[in-house]
Parts: sequence; C-alpha cells; structure tokens
Amino acid sequence: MTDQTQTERARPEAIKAVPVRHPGRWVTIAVLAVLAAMFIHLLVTNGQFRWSFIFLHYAEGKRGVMFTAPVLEGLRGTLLLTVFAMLIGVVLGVAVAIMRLSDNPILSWTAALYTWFFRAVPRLVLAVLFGNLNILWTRIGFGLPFDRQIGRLFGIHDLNAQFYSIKASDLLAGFVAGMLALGLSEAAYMAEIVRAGIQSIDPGQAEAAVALGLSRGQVLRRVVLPQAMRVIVPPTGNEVIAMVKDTSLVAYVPVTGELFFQFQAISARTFVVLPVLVAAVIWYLIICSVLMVIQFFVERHFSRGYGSTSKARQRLRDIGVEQGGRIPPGNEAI
Amino acid sequence: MFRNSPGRRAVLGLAAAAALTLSLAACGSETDTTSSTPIASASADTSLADKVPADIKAAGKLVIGTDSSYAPSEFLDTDGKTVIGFDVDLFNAVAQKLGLTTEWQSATFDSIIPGVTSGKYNVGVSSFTVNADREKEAAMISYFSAGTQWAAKAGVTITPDDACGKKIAVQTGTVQVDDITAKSKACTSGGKTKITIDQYQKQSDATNAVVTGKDDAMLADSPVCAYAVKQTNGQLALAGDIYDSAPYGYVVAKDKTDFANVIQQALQALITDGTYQTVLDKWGVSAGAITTPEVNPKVS
Repeated sequence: MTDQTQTERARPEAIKAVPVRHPGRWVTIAVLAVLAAMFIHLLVTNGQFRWSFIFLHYAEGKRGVMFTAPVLEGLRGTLLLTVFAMLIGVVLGVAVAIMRLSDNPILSWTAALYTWFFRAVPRLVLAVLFGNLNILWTRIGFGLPFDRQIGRLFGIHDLNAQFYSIKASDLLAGFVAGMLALGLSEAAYMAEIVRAGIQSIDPGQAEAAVALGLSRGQVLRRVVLPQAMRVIVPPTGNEVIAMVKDTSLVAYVPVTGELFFQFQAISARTFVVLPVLVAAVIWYLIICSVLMVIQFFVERHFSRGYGSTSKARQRLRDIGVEQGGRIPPGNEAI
Repeated sequence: MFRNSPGRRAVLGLAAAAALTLSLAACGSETDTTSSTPIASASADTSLADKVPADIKAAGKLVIGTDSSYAPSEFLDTDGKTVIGFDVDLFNAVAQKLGLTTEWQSATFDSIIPGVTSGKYNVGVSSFTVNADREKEAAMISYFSAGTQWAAKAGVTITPDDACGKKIAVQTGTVQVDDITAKSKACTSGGKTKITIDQYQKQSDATNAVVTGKDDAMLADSPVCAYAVKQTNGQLALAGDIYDSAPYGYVVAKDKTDFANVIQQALQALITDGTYQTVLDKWGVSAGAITTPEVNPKVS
C-alpha cells in the first residue's frame, strides 16, 4: 500500500462519495409505518366496524348500509343539492360582484351588505333558519308589492294583486329551504371570488377594449371575465367540494332526501351508529375524490398559457443559457 | 377531454349526470320487508267527520309534523321515506275516523310546536309529553300515558334517585332534560358530585352512548327505553321503575279548539271500538293505554 502511494503520489485517492444521510427521515418513516400498520390492523380486526353491515347487508333482504335504496336516493339528493346550490351561488355571485364593483354607491353598498350578512351567518344556523322561515308568511307569491296597503289607501278591502302564489310551508320546506340557504350563502363567497378575479385584470385591458368601441357589457363579457376565469376557477372548484360537504348540514332543516339524513334515519331505527357514520365518510370521500380529479383537469384547461406552461418555457430558456447563452429558436420572444 | 366544443362538452356533462342518476336508480332490487302491516282500518264516522272545521275538511288531508327519530313512537321505515310507529298507526286511525288522509313530514323536534302555531302543520304528533309550558303554546289532546324510564348497560346497577357523579345521556328538548337537571341540582345541594348530563340531538345517539360505555345510563320515555333495550340485543337493561307518568298529547294550534275537540271524540270512539288497543298491542306498548282522552288535561 505505502509503496504504491509513493510511486503514484500525483493521483489523489478517489472520492468515496457517500450520500448525505437522513437518519431523522428514516426514523419518521419507521414511525409512520408502524402507525399505518396499527391503523390497518384496527380496520381489519376491530369488530365494531361491522364491515358486512356497511357493504353487504344490514338487515333481512337489504343491501349494505352504503348501497341500500334510500341511501342511494339520498346520494342523488346530495348531488342535486350541490349542483343547484352552486348554480344559484355562481349566477348570483357574479351579479353581486358586478354590483359591488359598480360606481353607483347604492348598488355597491347593497352588494356589500349582502356579502356581509351571508358571510357572517354560519351555514348550519342559516339552514335551520330557512327551514323555519315559513313562520313569517302564509303564502309567498309574485304580484304588486304592498297590494293590501295600496288597496286600503283607495278604500278597497283585501285587494289581492298577486297573480301567482304558493303556500309558504310548501315552498320553504325540505329541499327548497336547504337549497336556498346553501345557494344564497354560497353567492356571498362566490361574489368575493369573482370580485378578486375581475380586479386581477389590468384596467388597461378594459380601457383598450373601450377605445376599440366595445360597449361596457361587451368589455365585461368578452375581455374581462374570460381572463378573470383563470383566477376564479381554482377557488370555485374548492367551493364545489366544500359545498358537497356542507350539504350534510341541511339534514337539520330537515331535508329528508339527503345523504346524511338518510344515514341518521338508519341509526335511529337500528341503534347502530358507528358503522353508519363510517359509511357516510366513505361516500363523502368518494364524491369529493371524483370532484378533485375533475378540478385538476379544469384548472389545467383554464390556465393554458400561464402557470406550468410558462414555467416550462422558462426552464427551456435556462437550459439554453447554460448551454452557451443561445436561446433555442422560437423562444426568443419570452 | 377538453378539446371538444363548449356545446358538446355541455352535452357530455348532461349525459354523464343522466347516466349517474339512472345507474343509481337501477342498482338491483331490495326485498321490502316493511314491518307496518296496515291496521284494521277504522271506518269513517260521518257524524264526527261533519264536525271537522271547514278549511281542513276542504283540504281533505292533515299535514303532520313529526320527529321521525324516536322509535318505536315514530321512525322511518327501511325505505327511508315512510314514517312508521305506534303514534303513526294511532293517529292514522284517528284521521280515518274523521274521513281525512294524512301526510307525515319529518321535522326537528323543537320546530314542531312553532310549526303547528304558524300553520305549517295541522297537527304535531311526536310523543309530546303534555306539560304546562307546551299547553301555553298550543292545545293538546292526551292519547297515551308514558313515564320516564332509565336504562343502563346490562349488568350495571344504577339507581335513578342516586345517580350523583355519573354520566347520563338524554335527548335534548325532552322533559327528561328538566328531570335530570333537577336531579343534578339535588346532588350538588346535598353536597355530592353533580351529574354529568350529555344532551344528544337524537335519541339513537343517546342510546348509542350508553351501549358504547361513553355514558353510564340514559333516561327517556318508557316505550322508547323498552324499544331500545329490545333493539340492542341485550346490551342494555332497564333500571328502576317508571316514574312521573304523564300523558302524551297531540298538538294543535291554540285557537283551533273545535278541531281539538273532534280529535278527542274520534280518539274516544277508537278506544270504544277496540282499534286503540289493537294498535298499542301491535307495538307492545299497551302498558300506557288510557281510557279517557282529554283536551288540555290538567298537568303539574
């Protein structure tokens, strides 16, 4: 050994490169692995979960709690409720956001008042409140406002200038009450999101469009909103997922055709609580997972030309700079 | 996936939604083992039917508010829609006597009396114990006698009169909440530890809390306790005797005394012709049978 080093002293010993050690990581991984094993062990061995009750059959001639007919109908109810509440939320939210950005102080303050109210009241309270709102009116209808008062002014008793009305207890009950509570509250959040989106667009865009002769409505529809979509869409996806979860609140209106209400009805009848709740957890996980996948694709669609693509171009240019400062052809303009 | 034109995309979305809806509907069939066989129907009594207030008679149907989480009095059948129970069978018979049909609507317990007052429901039928507070708000017609009963995990001994320091489950809004609060006060003023009162939204949650050992015991109306003991396959046992027996009452709006009277008369007719006893026997709650229903009975 010593002879060799003396003869070849010019060559240093090859570096014994050892990867940086991460003992902390390995300890953490070991702890996580043990915890995961404990969790799986719990799922498999603890009889209290009663998996056959959840998946196979919970009573004579019935499928498992997850797939029994009323639960599937409740699932449909939950999905419909999500869709309708979000429709109300998005349409009304855009309207409120545009009002909020109006130069007219009355419009903008009305919108601010609306947002303030519905952001400040918890959804559960709102849902229960809407279920009881029919106490205020016997009938709800369209027609001349203040018709009774106007009639009295002219000496006519019981002037009824309503051309269509419906019993309040029929309208403001169950599904409709829950849908309105969720939709109206969602509109307040959507208004904030849309407002942020519109404000993120450079005012120069609108000015240029006006200079080209577009009307104010056209500017909004053709120039501002399409660009604002990139900012609006990701939080809206989150709102949809949040809405799926919040539909469970309307079980307290109560909305009978709703997933969580139906699960609670099963535990009220059978006195089995935990497996029924686990079944509810699984359904919400499934719905939300599907929505998250959809959200990923929608976001990718609306961020075309921004975000990851431009990052990719940036990387390409960096590579070019490393390789002698030549920017690859076709990317000079970045 | 997103290369399609917007129109086609919308169509695809709709098609997906429709497919989902259809697939949910066509998910195999379940055999229906509905436990409620129709009770020997009470024939309409024309002399009573004539006394029904005109507006209700014109509607032909009674809308009933009920908290359908209170087995065996009122709970949802396996189809997730039909409200069943001894309250339901009994009041359906009352309505038949009056020549009316019934529509049962699920509601939260607290919202039923306000719902009757506001006209959302014609009647509230949800195991309402008649008490002075409720009689202030609405007219009540007694139809059953229930007491408070305790239940605990099988093998555990608990005396209702000395539950100091224990954890007790009870459904919120029931008369038992006042009862257990008073008992807890008695404990603290007697120098003992207070009772921990866990109030649950639903009776099934209270029952479950005792089954799982979260709480030491529960108290509820006697038929409910008996049914819970039966349903939990021997995990629970009744503790102590039934006490504080008080009538259950149908709730109608305070100003509708005519309607309250006609319900009372129909109920009396059912007791006379034996339908009343048949219903109670079917649900195993005949211990609480009464002989003379009253409108706004005197209660303490």
